[in-house]
Amino acid sequence: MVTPNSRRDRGQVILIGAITLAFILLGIVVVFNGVLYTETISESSTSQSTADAEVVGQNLEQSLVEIARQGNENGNWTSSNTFEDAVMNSGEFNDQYQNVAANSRSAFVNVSNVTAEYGHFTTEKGKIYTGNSKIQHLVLDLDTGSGGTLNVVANSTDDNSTSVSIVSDGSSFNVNSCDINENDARFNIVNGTIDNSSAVGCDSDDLQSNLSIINTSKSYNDIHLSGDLDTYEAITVTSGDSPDVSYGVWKLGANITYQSNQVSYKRRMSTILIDGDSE
Amino acid sequence: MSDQNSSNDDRGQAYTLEGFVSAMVVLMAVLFALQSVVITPTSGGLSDRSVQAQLQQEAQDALVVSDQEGNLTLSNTIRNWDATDDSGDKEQFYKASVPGPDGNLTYNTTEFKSQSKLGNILKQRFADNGYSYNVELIYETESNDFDTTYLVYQGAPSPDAVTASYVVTLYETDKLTATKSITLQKAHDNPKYDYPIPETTTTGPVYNVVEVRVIVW
Repeated sequence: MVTPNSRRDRGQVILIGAITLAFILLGIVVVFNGVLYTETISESSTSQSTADAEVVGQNLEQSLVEIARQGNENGNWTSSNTFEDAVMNSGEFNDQYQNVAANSRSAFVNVSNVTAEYGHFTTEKGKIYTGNSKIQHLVLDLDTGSGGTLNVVANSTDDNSTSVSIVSDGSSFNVNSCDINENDARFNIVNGTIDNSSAVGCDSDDLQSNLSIINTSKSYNDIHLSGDLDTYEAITVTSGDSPDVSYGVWKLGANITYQSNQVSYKRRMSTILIDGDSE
Repeated sequence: MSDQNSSNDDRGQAYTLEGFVSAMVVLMAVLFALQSVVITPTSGGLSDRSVQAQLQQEAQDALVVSDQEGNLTLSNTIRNWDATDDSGDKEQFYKASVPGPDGNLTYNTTEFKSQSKLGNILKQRFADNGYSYNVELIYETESNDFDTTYLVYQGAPSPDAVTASYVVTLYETDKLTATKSITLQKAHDNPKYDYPIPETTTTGPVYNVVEVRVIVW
């Protein structure tokens, strides 16, 4: 009589032990689940801030380049440092951007140490006097418009002249039988390239040999622009002083700072060539 | 007798363990109940932090992408102001028809889709999936306060709404992109056109800096 009773008790103990073990395992699962959840929250918000900083940085770069370009076209830059002033001091762009950015997010955005280099900028035809100096950079920003031709002649100090004719048929350009299928293209006649290389319909070496009429080791008296193509802009940079008082920003750089409670970020934006590629 | 005692000892041990297990059941129930308070909102809706982060990222990307898109950039969308005054009463964004909270007319999601790349992306991703959104323009006024104009207004956002914003710089030479191509300055100064964004900088080619804010919920 005694033995079966004792066995029954033992069975009860084993059953209770098993249930206890099951609950312990369940407890571990719940706690582990909580840990994972907490980790997900902390990670997601930090990565979001990083993306935000990147967007702001890019947006600022884009704005600075556009300000420089608009100023070139409107003749806003009347002496060296006028671009820097417009961004950081009297022009209040930096202040205003800071205010708007602070209004939208808990972050401090700042542009500092803006540097710009100036060249000669023109939208008129005629001669650009380069004052017997070497030419580092000459970019023509052309629009096909209603068609026409632009002739560029570079007169060097040793009485040699080199030239190129850029012809527009109203929808594309042609340089010495090389087609460029683009409405709006930038021609660099120092290194003989255009901004959108995929629009070039011939071998890029052929285009380069026809378009590159300026030798950076030679000095030039003037560049003569003529023809009936309507819309264009030219920016020229010489190794000496700027050829005349038509200032145009052709190269700029700046420090961009982004600080929030999660991300602190400061970088020098890569030097950007206006009407050209970044360096 | 001793067998009887031994059996009673085992039974006492079993009762003790039963007591522990009962306590554990109750504690687990409490723990589970507490945990489920946190778990419930995360199991689907907007309150899930990762879903919110995802939505915010998508709204932010929509803004970035729409600023790169040819003739329908964000700047053009902001300048899409109807200056014909042919309606004879209200100045408004071009082809907007829904009264906004500030009295100006705003777009519904379909109208905004046909007028801008941003509207197209937002409609495809958010409106068609049952989300609501507001698109606001926030800019500095002449008195250095901030003012808001709405492009899309679908009501007051819920507490779990997410926000994405992008800053657009307007330039002095920029013109209205809708019916009449006049400069922003003229459109703002002439009471017939009443373009809401004023010029706030004194020098340089910059007209104003505008924040485009998308609120999704």
